[in-house]
Amino acid sequence: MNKLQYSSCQEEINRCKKIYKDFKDAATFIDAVCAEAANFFEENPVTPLPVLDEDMATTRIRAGNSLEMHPRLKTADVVNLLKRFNDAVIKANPGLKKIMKQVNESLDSFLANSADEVTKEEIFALRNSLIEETELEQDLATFLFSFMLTSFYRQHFKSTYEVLRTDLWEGGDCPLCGEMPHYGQLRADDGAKQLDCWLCGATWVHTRIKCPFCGNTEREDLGYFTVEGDDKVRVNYCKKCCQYYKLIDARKFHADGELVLAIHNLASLTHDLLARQEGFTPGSGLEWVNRDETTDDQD
Amino acid sequence: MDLTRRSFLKLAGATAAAATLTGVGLRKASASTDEPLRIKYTKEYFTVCTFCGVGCGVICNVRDGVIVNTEGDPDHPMNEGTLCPKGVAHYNVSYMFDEKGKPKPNPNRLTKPLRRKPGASDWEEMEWDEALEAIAKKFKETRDETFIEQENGVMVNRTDAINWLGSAFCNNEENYLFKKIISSSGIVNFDHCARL
Repeated sequence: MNKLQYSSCQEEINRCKKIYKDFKDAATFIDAVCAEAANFFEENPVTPLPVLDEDMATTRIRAGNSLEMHPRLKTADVVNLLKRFNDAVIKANPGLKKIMKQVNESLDSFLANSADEVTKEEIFALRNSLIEETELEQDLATFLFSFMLTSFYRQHFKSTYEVLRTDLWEGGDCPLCGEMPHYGQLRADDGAKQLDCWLCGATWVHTRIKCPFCGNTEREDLGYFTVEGDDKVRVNYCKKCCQYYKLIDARKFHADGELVLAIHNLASLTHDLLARQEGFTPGSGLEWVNRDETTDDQD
Repeated sequence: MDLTRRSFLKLAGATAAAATLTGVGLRKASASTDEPLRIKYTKEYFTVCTFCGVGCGVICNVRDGVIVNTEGDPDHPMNEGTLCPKGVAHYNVSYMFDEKGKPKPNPNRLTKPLRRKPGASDWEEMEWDEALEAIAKKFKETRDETFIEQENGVMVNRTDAINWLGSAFCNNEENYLFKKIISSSGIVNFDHCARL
């Protein structure tokens, strides 16, 4: 569970190629990024955080408080993994070499001017400055940074998941790191809404008709939309907070075993675009849509 | 206009294309069709299955005021997402499928009381108030005409002419009241449809 294994990613990519239209073109790139991450952690193993005090963790969870755990990451490792991902981008599209070179230069500058360890907030500030200062668009930046961060978090939390009592958790945010979810699934065996943390990979069950972001349970405000002719992906929205998240209906493709929803999320970015066009914003804060894809405005 | 380095690069045409996910093959709009994608909005409503006394939770998916699917409620403590074969077919109480597999309102679903007048061959609709009044009147007449107070010198206070069939569609409170009516009316022939 939770750790992004290269073999599971490969299986999921193959599954997604069969069930999502137009995913084949991206599959090679995603596979290359997963392979880069796997090689990186083989060469640079991360020491997992110490096992949690189970009683303390359970008491907090039972009281409805997320553990809000965020490891500090080694700056050099963050930069190196991002550079590997950038290499994969260039391999997928050599036309982007010039831009990725700009990005790499900015990363070098970040490494030179930062402390040995950085927080998630500092990494997001770096992402935002790259979008501002280079030709790196928001969607690709979100992909590179979220995939890099989740790879590190899942390594750090390897021994944490086992003691985490997610069955006691009723909140919409992640019980482990406190992030808001971007996707989840309707489980194949019982149809329960299981949310996945895009950051640390923790999973928890959340009430079907309830907004994970604002806690709204007013059924007239809540609903979902699907694309005509394809009901595998639902975009659940809340009219009160105007935010959305995606649910992959695992009952529709009879999936055996655990799904790697990070891959399904990439295969269903069409739904993020549609959600933005419908006026909803991602409750997770992860922006997968570029500004010029929803409006005619150019900056 | 705030001329950042980024906007300058764009204006100067310094790059052929921005680095987007589309650039690495991840398309957000379908490449295989030029037609815009059409979306369908659906709402989910909780309800309770009416088939038996267990009271399983059901989620009804409603699109444009029409139920398009029913499923077990995974958050309900009684059934945890499961439903029995009758509960699964709950959708068919309201809708059935035509020859092409498209749903249409179930013509067999009664939405109003029906009566067949003496000598008539067809059923006709009537109003609820009228129906309930007629039933109450017939019930009282039959009970009064057939009521037995004593049998072989023993007080029995019963009627053998009325049979009452309870229903699993009814809830606990309704069935409690039914039993009160049955006992106070002297009905001894009563049963339950026993769907459990």
